[in-house]
Amino acid sequence: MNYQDILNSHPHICAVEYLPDYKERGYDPQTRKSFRLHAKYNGHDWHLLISIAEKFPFYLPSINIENVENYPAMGHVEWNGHICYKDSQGLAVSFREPETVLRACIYEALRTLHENYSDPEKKELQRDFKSYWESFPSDECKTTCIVNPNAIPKELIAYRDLKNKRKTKIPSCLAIVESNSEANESYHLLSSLKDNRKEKSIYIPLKKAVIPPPPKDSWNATDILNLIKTHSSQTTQETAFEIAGKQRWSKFFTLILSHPKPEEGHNIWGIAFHRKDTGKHPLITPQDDWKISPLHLKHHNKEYLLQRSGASTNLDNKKIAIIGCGSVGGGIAFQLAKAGVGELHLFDFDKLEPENIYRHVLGGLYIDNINGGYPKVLALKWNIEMNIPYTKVEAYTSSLLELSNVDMFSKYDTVIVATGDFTSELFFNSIYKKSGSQTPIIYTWQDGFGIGGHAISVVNPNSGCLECLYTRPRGFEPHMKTSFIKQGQTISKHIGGCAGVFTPYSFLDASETSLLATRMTLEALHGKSRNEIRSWLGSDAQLKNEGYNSSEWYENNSTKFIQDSKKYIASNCAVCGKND
Amino acid sequence: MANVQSEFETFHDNIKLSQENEILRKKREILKKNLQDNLPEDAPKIDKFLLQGSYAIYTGINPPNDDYDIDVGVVFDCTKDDYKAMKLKNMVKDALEHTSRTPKIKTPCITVQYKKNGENDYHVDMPVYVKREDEDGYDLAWGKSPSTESWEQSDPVGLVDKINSVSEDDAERAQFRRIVKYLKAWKSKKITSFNLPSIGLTLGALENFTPNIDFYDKKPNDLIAMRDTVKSMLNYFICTGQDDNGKWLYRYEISLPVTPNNNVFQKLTDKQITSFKEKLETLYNALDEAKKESLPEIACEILQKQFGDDFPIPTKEETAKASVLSMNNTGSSS
Repeated sequence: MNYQDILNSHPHICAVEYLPDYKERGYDPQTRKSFRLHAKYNGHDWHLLISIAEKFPFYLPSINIENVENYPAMGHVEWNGHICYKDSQGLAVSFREPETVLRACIYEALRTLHENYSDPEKKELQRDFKSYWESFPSDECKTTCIVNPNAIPKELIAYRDLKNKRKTKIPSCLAIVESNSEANESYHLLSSLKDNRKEKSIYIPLKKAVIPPPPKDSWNATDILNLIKTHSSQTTQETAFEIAGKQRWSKFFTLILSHPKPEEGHNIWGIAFHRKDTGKHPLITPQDDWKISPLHLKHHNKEYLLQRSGASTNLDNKKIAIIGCGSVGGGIAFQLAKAGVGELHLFDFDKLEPENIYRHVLGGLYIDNINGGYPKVLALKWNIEMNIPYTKVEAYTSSLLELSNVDMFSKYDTVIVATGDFTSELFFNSIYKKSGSQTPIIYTWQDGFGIGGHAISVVNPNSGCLECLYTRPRGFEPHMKTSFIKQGQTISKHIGGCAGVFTPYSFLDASETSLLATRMTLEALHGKSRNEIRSWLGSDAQLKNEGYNSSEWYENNSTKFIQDSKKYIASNCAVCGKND
Repeated sequence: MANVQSEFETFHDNIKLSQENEILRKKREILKKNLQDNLPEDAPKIDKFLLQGSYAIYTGINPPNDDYDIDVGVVFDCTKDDYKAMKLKNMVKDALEHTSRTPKIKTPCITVQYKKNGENDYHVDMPVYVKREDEDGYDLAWGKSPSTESWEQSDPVGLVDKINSVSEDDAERAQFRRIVKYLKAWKSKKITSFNLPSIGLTLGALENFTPNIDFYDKKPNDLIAMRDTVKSMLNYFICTGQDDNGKWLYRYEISLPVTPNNNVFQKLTDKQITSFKEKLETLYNALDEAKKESLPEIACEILQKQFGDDFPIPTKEETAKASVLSMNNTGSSS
């Protein structure tokens, strides 16, 4: 394929020049073909450099503005002229037609340039200010940032990598966090900072959009001081300068700034000031020998994390109890934490045992040589709070019977019961139905041998409860009618893999069951709870292999999933039945 | 509530027709052959035999006096214009004459009583039909003498089809047939002073059948199904007035669901039907009480009073052993 011919034939391109020696930053020129392009698009002349990788179109060409210093800062164009014309995430291209793809790339680059250049408000630039700012040349490493943007300037803690563990040319800043950030203390990014020296930084909220320096240009300390003076209130400045004045002499200072995005939210960005010898804070003595560079911020503040990672910010104020934290309940705890639920109260009196390693979501991490296994609830608390910054976990060792009281329902937005102690669960269910509480209760369990799992949601005042599953027209029987295992078989523990020995894929089975319950819980938290049972159906191969039979209910269902909100309800249920 | 399904099933085994199948089938075949061989030459040709009665709808029970009943209809290949009813009935009666048996002409059929050691062994009821041009059933030879004879339109095959299609579900159909048998067994114990036609019980159960089969494991519960069916039947008794003592009287009309659609309780007096209603109410109360009883042996005692000794009562040892079912390792966990 002759790229030059294709480029030449492009309707928007006037001239093409092959550049055999052009070096695209970070790439071996041997593997790339580069060209200078003169393009005309909507009446504007663009001087571009395109560099096409050997593996094109699996990698798209890099396209830059050659004379970018002649332009103002605009969206999707980096400080050095690189154009971000296509997001490669989720992209599929017609890779068998590279000629067409190349044409499309040129077209997309020109369209991106035109749209952003011709926008007088430079909205795209303001929507993602951070990307442009952090494209400035910098020696800085990534900096963890936990700052919740608001209208008040505040002192921040900056953790410096004084021992230079990162082996960088200049000392860098590991993290900048506000002192009461809501993040869990044991969140590992915070707890790992303890050994590093604490310095001070300042958060300064700006009130209006910031116009950054144009490409290939930069700011000095005076520019930044002026920016703060023109973009923030008198009070903000006074507080900020007061904090800056208290800081001692240093070769390195940092600032965290924020300004509003066009629609909603904030751009949060950081500045590093470097100097060869120590000086006073640049906001106090704005000497122009301070070297200014962007901080590469990795945001961990709540608003950013919950929105950007698919969790839900409106679950943040929800409080959920999980009673029973075995392989099913433990999985639910993790799933709910990752869904963004703010507070989990876990109840279980069991300790982790070696047989949990391949079945429980915690694996073997919390079983050690000295203490043996830790209580499941403690280990879950440690792991979740270390892992996930904004979910608080409380751990209790009470049993379901001890918890069978009305207080349980008023304290929580939803209660999940996954104990496998079905008699106690029935008692809990009867207390709940009597209480008239409207807190949804989700019960979940799984049938042995990987044959399937179930979750039922129970909410007052309508009929349909846990005891309905044990109630036949002929009365109560201690075997759930929805069970996939035939009634009346003596299932021995050590073969069944229900409490004893390893069952193949048991973690998958438990996860599948957890998912059923977690989704029902999320529906309940969004106010869509109703009395319903859901089941997933697995294979009966292992059950049969062990010499047991599956139930009629299993045999008569050819689907892999059952959802029922009517048939399981027993009119003669002793707890919720309307008649006998 | 106690689970007495297994006792109901034993009861069923005790009452269901035990001479079914082979023996009765052979007797039927002999009779059919005799008829064919002995009909006079001027008789019309036999078109076919019809299987009728409880045997055809699988609701036969052992008769209380061991006098088995075989219903087999004969259809002649002619119409009512070709023969008088009594003429054909007499031809059949004569053909069945034999040293060991004396056929009798009854209003709807010919009856042949067989004996064994001087005792009634079984009897055959044979209605005589001729074909109809409109093919809507047959014409039945009716009457005992020329003065009462007539041809009555009748659809015995349609009736059997109707009853056998009570439900599409095998388990429900089997439950219906058991309930009819329970009702017939109950009748033989409780209604002895007059002849309550069994077809009335069958049709009453048919119209009011309330099956009870577990949705999940397909296990039947005959106690509840029978209780609910009887309850529903009771709703159809209509008050007609009072007798001389001021006692309320009732009627229960159940029409044959096929031609000629007559009320099968037509011949019963209001007093008899009122007595039937009272006994049915007692049955309902017993079923309901048994359902509420938690100990199986007590529940079965209550039921035995209605159904007689064929209904078993489990010993305390048996029920104690069954109590282990109250604890169950389900094979499930969380």
